[in-house]
Amino acid sequence: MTLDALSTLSGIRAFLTAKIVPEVPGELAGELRAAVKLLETAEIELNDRHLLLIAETWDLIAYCERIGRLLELADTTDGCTELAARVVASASLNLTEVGELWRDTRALSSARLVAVQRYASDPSTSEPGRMAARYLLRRFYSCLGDHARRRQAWQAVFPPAAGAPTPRAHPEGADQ
Amino acid sequence: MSTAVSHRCPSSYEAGLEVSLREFLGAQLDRQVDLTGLRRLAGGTAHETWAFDLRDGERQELHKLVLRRSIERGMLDGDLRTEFDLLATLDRLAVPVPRPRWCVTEDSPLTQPFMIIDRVDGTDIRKHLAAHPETDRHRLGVELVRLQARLHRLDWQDCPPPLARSARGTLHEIERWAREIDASSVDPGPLLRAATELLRDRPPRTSRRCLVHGDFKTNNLLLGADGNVTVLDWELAHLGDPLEDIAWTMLWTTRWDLVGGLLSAQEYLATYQEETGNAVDPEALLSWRIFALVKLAAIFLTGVTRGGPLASPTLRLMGRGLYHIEAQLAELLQAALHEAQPS
Repeated sequence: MTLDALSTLSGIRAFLTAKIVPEVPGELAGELRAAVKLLETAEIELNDRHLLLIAETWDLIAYCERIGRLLELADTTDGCTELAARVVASASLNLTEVGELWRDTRALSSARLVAVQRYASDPSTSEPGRMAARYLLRRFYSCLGDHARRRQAWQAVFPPAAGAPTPRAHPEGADQ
Repeated sequence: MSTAVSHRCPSSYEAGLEVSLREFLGAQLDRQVDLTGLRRLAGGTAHETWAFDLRDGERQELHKLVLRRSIERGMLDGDLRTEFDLLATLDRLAVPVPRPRWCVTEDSPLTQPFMIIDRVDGTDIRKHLAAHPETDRHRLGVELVRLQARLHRLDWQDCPPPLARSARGTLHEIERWAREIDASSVDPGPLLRAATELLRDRPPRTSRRCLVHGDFKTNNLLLGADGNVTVLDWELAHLGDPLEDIAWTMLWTTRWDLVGGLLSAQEYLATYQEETGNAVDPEALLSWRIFALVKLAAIFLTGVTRGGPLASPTLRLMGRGLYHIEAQLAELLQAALHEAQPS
């Protein structure tokens, strides 16, 4: 037995399940069971979070750069470079800072993904441009789906599908 | 509304509710009535659901009833009055729904808007399947598809006026749920943004208009002791495309669900086509499936946001279902890209 955060969460969850849930009446028992499930998923998340978010952030930055190049965006490198610098320094970031980095990268990814979708469906886009955009979109959707499936282990509403990808030790980076 | 899972929760809250409810029912019936067995049923993120028995001594009658009372800052903004009127219409058309009794939406004596409906004895099909592994799943699945097809065949012009007027087109529906996502305090992420943008750019094709239940899945279907199925929870009902309803049902695919549990997706669609005589357009269905995921995400995110720092664990758990939605969206967006490929 250890006294670290994950063991503490696990111990509290076991105590609530064995001692408190049977004593709580009515609707609150359902909420307490949900709270116990949340503690379980929080344990899983805390164990994996740093590794998974950094891996995802690397991949997203790579795709944002590629979209920026394809669309010839003025800020192609600015946003991505700043984010990449933060990833390089991520070993010194705490969990909250890693979460902020991930959120900032997702925000840039949202804007870039929508931009490239518009570009791909714009009738004025050249055929080669449209094909490149569609290729990039397919790969980006797939990459985002893989990362979402890895995060599925953190939730308990929908069980992860069999064969869902497991956390990777090294970020692959987007295929360049 | 299932009576299978219920909890006793004696409290001053319950006692106060019992007094108010007895007074309300006495006033409605203009005589003294006895109210027994008041208990809150599990579940419900937009309303509380309570079961109770009403004893009418003067007429020697026992009525098994359910009270559904809105929750302040609930997950959905349902129109209780319209839902109540719809239940009355469906009951008149002999559609298997709980018979509605009373509805109060203003100056509620129970502090929140509420409706009282008949309690149907039975078990929701998800729980029934868990308790009865010997169930003929295929037969039950076909029966449920027939029921869904029957709902889609109803003349929507019979619906209560607010519902009949509510058909404002697919783009309006897309914007409605997109607004809910935007209003959420949680970043929905790139895939949801991309899906919303795609729906705006290429809205799902609409073939015809019908009454859409909006949440047709096994835990909203009650299997009675007599073997009949009753359709519950009409709060998401509206006029729309039948494929919207089909796509929503296809979201739920565990072994306790209609799709994946009772029938395969192919069997489900084939049975529906056979029952209605309407072919399912795969491209339109794909768009509606993307729409269903966006709508589900909006509902989950709304629940977490409205709950604020004190959001219940149930709402928080649902919010974390967003990861599953993202994973599903990634697959459907890739498929949509393929569909859009110029031939």
